[in-house]
Amino acid sequence: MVEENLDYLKVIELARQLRVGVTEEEAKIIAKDLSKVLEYVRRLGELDLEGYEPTYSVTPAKSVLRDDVAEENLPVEEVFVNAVGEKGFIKAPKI
Amino acid sequence: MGASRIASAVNAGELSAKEVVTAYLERIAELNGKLNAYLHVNSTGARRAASSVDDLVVRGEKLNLAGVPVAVKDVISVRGLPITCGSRVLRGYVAPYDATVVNRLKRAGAIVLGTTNTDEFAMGSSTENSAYGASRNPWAEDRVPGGSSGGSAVAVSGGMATAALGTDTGGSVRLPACFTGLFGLKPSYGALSRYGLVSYANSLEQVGVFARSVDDLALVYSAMLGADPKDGTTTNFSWSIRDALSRGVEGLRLGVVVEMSGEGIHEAVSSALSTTCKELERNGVSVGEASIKHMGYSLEAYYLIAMSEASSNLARFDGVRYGEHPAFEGDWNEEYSRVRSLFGLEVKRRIILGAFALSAGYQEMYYGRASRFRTLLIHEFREAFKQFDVLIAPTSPTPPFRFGEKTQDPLTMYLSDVDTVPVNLAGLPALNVPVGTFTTDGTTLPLGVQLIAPYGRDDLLFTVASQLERSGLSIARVVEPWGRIV
Repeated sequence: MVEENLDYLKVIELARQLRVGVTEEEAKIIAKDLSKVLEYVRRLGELDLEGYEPTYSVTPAKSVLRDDVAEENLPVEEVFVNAVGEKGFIKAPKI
Repeated sequence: MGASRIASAVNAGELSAKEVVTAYLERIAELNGKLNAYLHVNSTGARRAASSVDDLVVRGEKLNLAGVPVAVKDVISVRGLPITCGSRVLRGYVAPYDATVVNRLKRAGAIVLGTTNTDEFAMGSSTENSAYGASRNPWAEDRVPGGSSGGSAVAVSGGMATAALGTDTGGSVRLPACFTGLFGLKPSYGALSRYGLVSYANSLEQVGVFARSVDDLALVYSAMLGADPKDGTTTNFSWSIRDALSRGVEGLRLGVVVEMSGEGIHEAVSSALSTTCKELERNGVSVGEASIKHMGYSLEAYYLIAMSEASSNLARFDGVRYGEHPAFEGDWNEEYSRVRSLFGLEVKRRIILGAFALSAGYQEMYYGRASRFRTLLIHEFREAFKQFDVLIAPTSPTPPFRFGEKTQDPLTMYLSDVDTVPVNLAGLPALNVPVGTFTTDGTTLPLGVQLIAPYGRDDLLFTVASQLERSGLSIARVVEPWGRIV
């Protein structure tokens, strides 16, 4: 019970940091799943992975710079179709 | 009619792209209410595109996909069409550009009929997580079509498109292809551009293709291949699919993955697997047992990586540039939280669990170990491919399950992907081939198995699948709801 409560608080705190609104009910469900899923994935701890470097991408991921030549981009008016704009600027919430 | 027949008839002037599109739009109008395959039908745009293709043909141009009607999963950008990712967060967003894969299909003469249903942000195995309702499986009213690319699978199996694009992050093309009796390809990582695809777990996902024949699959896939400067992970491969289709299977070595074909597999699936092996053996393929010893840990590693990448990728959705907009009342903390409260439960679960797995003190234990396991798995696949040219395994441990059967417990749903995720972790190409049907309580359901090839050898999948189709074992057909095979 104590552990469940801890998970609930953890979920609320993570959601706050992530700026993802969750209802109390959602947080309770996710808290329950958090312990269940973590319990499940803990099995990976049994493996001896000594000597295996992590794989983050299966293709050699290297940054490539393109030539510094101007390319055609999305016209501003088309980008603004999806945003709330004012006087040529995209409107954002206040800081 | 298949893609190659449509294209040659349109190129020859025997059929107009407009006639093709009209027939398909009628079919969609008749069936989509029942099947919920399409979230948005591109009626006007498709008719306009068909006219342009007809004009080009009149001027003597030959197009590989002239007039071929395709559907596109609602996570891939099609210029001018809404893209929601099956989510309320992106309601109202209209894609301002074409994904590279869509652009290449259009240039080859294909017509986009519309965008198809998906589990929200491709997170799911049944389409039950879509904010716009689940898609229905034309084979049986009470069975899921599989997911997450379920809408695309239903569009093709229901005869509402000739072929369709999906995405496969952990099985999201192969599983629905299996559950609806289609060919469903997950290419090698890097074979197709991800530019214009909304990222969920970028190191795992690939655009894939659904089709009712190996020829159609080859035609659509070939049109999209080739490196794209807009996606640095794309690569060019040296094989030609046309050669792969005409090559025989004789002398190929096929390995049955023992870790995926033993316990917990439905007997109808096991029997489909052995029928497939026998058929290939009859055609000169040698069949043996392959072992990927630590495969049993794949699902854990997959979900840790997918959730971690999701928690990072989905941070871009704040409603400012696209999608549901903030109310502009509170400060940005409040406004972002409010916009993101529109994510569904499964998406929130994955973002939060992913953030936890990446948090200080836990990162090495969860994300780090999962990433190191990935290296071990790749190594074991490489060893297996020293002995075998192609591997074979079930696509799903069971035939299509019922609606609601797995929605209560996330782990139960995650287990649907147990046979598909190892391929994504290793970046390999794999293909679901339909293998007959089985009947339970008066309901006939499709069966399928997956072929897995070494990295960069997608061509081998086409060689083997083509043989299975020629020998009459792998036949995909249009299915009328509920279950009448045309």
